[in-house]
Amino acid sequence: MRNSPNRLVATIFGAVYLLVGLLGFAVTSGVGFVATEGANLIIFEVNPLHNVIHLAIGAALLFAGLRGTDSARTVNSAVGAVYLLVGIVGLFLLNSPLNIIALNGADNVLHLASAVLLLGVGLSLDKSPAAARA
Amino acid sequence: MTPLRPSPLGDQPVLPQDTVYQANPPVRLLIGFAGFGAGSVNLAICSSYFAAGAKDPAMFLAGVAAGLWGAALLAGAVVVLAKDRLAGGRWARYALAAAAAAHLAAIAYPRSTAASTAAPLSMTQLSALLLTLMIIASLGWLGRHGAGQKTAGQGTAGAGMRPGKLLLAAFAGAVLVAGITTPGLAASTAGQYAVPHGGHGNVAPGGHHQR
Repeated sequence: MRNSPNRLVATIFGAVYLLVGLLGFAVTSGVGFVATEGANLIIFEVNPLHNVIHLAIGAALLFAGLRGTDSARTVNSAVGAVYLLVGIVGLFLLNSPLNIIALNGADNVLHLASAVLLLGVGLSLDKSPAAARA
Repeated sequence: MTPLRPSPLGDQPVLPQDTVYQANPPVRLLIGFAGFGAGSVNLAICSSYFAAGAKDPAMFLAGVAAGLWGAALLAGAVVVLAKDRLAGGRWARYALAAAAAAHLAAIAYPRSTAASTAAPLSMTQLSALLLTLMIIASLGWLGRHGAGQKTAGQGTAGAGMRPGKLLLAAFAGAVLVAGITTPGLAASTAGQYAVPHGGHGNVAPGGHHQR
């Protein structure tokens, strides 16, 4: 685990996202499941659906991080790609009620930061010798 | 990976210019991060041009160029991270320099059919310029410092750097890039008309929170 950046990232991010998902439920009582206006968790706006997604992503990352390097690489890359999409699309839901995970500006910064970190580590580190030669 | 070629100056091998050295994973990660950020911001510029000048051929062409460049940057970032090389080699460096000059010109001479969109779009262009310069600077740093490390040890990714330190450096780079990218995206036309967030700072007329 200590020698693999991907396993470290997956485990740490997985634990943090699980924690954030659980804490989110403590502040979103009374908020609609897909309400476009959520409640603030520190500076990050969340609603119950957002919390469920955090729990799912946290569980996937933690499981992959504990399982092995290949799993961690795959899940880091996949979650990073999804977060990149969410970080961009979060700003481009033009004038519509499609903001079903109650994104705010801080969410977008965090999603983009998570995306580039997970995608960067997943794509570039812990390569197998065959992949590195390719 | 492109093989090393013999140096005209002696026995020491010289790395081809399209090789991004594995001996500097934090800098390589920063190039990839900035590539993702710059690609995203260029796509936002593309949508802004389309929104501002749908019937103006010049604006439409500028939008197409920004869109293609944004897609190329995203693809290039994946290649840098996954394959450890710079897609396009020397030509990519020229293209990056040309893009930086174009962003600078767009800031100096804003062109918009709607005057109100010019100032915020300058922020988007500034964001794109900073990210492009970050890529150019990182490539230049690798060119100067990476060759010595690579030729000395032929190291693999992360060699000589503990994963914990590497991840801290990567996290700092990710936050820096996201901190530059997000205001750029938010200042684009699409960002201004995006679904209002918790801050309610940029509510578009007629948005779903308007009464």
